[in-house]
Amino acid sequence: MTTAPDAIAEGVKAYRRRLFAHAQAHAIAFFDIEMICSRLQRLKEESAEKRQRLSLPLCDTEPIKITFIDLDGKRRRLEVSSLFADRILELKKRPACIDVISKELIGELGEYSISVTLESFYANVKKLFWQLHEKGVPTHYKKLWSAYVDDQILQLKLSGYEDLTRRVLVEFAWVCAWQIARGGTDAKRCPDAEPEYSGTLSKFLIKEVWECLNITGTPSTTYGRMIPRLQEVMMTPFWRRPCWPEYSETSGDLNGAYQLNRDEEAQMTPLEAWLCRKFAEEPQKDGGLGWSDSEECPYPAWLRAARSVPASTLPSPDRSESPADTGIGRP
Amino acid sequence: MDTQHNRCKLTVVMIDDLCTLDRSVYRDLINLKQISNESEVQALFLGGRSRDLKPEVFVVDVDLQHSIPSHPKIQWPESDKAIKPVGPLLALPLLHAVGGAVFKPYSSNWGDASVLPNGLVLTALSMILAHEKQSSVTIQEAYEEMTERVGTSC
Repeated sequence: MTTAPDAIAEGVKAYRRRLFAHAQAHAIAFFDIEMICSRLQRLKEESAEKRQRLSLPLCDTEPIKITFIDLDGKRRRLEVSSLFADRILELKKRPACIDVISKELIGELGEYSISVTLESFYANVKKLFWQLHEKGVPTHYKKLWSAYVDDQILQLKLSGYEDLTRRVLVEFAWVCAWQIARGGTDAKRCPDAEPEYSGTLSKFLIKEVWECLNITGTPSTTYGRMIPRLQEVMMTPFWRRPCWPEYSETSGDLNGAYQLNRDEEAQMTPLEAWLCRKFAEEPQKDGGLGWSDSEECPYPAWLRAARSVPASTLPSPDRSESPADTGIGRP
Repeated sequence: MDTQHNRCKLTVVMIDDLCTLDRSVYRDLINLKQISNESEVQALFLGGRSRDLKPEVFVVDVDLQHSIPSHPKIQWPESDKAIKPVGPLLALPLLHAVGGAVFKPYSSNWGDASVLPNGLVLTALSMILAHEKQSSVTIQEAYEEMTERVGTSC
């Protein structure tokens, strides 16, 4: 490169490629890519009708942004026109550049897109969690998943993301259990809350997880692997992956693989980690647990810092899987 | 536009002494900032500002002759144009301080004897290329890579 404009264009393009590669390597979920493309298309049509170049930033009622959870577990929003600044300038702000942007967005991120906003997804999973928690009718753990579809409106809102929803529901229960064990509520506290991986704390946590989800059917100290087996309920391999990296389907301790009873970093996607922290931190009046990470009542390590999901656990991109098979995209 | 709006734009930092760029072209697209000498880079990491400043992209001009005053006792590689090729050196402390950013060196003087064959410049460029590729790059490899880029797209 010989000039600053060339370097800026190359730099923006390189950053975008890196972001997309990260999305594919670490299962970073992007929100509403289809809706973003619809909004862009409307802008294109309006500009074409008026025979005008696109006005910047690309904006309808507000600047059009993509939302995602980055590897630090923080929510980020980026204006589409900023992320594609090189393309827009290269094509001299012509409406046709919308097609180029949309094609790249769908091609690179379509599989990782969740077609709801992050806020509505969180709100709906949280609502479902409290519905199960307060139902008052004990549910056998094998039927937890059918209980989930009792609410037709929620079913519709979460349709397409059942696997992610099931997993996050169980993770929310673990957040609740740890808060109780650490004395974060007035209700009770584990009498021996030292971070041991088996024994008193572990049994206490497991019992609380069952109670949080109103589950009966097996002894309270048996976890029963609440992330269901394929033969019980179809659940895609990606979302059935163990919470701890050293466990596998063949390691022999399947229950242990799915218990978040250890004060260590667990394998969670950035989205799972963000949802769990949001649920922990949100004030109780808003439906969260109102739990701040503090010396008196610390988060477990897996809630404080999730270990990103290694690429080796993800479905291979060249396998002939549909988005539904990866468990990330909308079926 | 308000701060919230600007947070949603990519931030591009130019390490450049003479910015002849038409900034109005970029105003609605990206946040453009400029750093032009060693003091401003030092202020970034000494003042801890690198934690607040989270650029996604650095574009690095190789020659910063206009921002570095001449001093009779300080010597620079000989060049007819008095080029001071320190841009890549200034980028080095930022490679780690601003993790995750993309670095793109550029120059209109790649062919000058004080730029591309210069071992000091190539040492710095090898670090930047290693950051870009996320793998080790020797000075020799940096020379070959940059020669290829200059010969094609650079």
